[in-house]
Amino acid sequence: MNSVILTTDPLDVNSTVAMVSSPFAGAIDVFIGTVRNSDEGREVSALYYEAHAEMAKSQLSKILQETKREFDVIHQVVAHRLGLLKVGEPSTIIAVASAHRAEAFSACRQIIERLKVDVPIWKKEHFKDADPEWLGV
Amino acid sequence: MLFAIFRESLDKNEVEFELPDGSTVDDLQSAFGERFENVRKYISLSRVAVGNEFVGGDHVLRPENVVSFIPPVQGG
Repeated sequence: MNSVILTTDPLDVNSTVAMVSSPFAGAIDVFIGTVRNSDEGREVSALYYEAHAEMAKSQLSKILQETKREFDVIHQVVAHRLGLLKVGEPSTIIAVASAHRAEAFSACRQIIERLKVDVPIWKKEHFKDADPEWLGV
Repeated sequence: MLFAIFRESLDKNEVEFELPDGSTVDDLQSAFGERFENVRKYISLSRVAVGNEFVGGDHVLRPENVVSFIPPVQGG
């Protein structure tokens, strides 16, 4: 099972992990990306995430198809939150189940690295003492 | 379609262009930069998608294409 979730609702680690659990799995690897309180010395109060939702889902599905082909993955899910997130909240949860740990680690790592390159999601930083800024431009 | 820095700077979700037959993504980017000078500096940083797929500058556009300007992505 490959699952892609884009939502403005808060992400939940337990329910995401439950989606990939399987009697055939010997390992579940989980990556959680969270909102950090600083960026290059500036105090961050919140992050706003925006997506080209249709394309982001399509790109994420392709990434999951690649990891399914490349590693011995049983189930995998990638969930990304959109909208305004507070410091400490999860922005991304990736969970991968496989028979053995090496495949789960590798697939999970590949999903987050690919997400950061080819998935149209943008981040605007809100600072404690400055105007908000889109990252990367 | 416009997102993030483009959407916010222009206060628009989309714009329409009429281009000659055979025009490419590069041609569209030039026309876009001429019409919207205030965001021209972001065009060279951005990739372009037709539908849900990234395309190169030499991609020939068709009238029904929905094109998205994709500023540097920042997911995760």
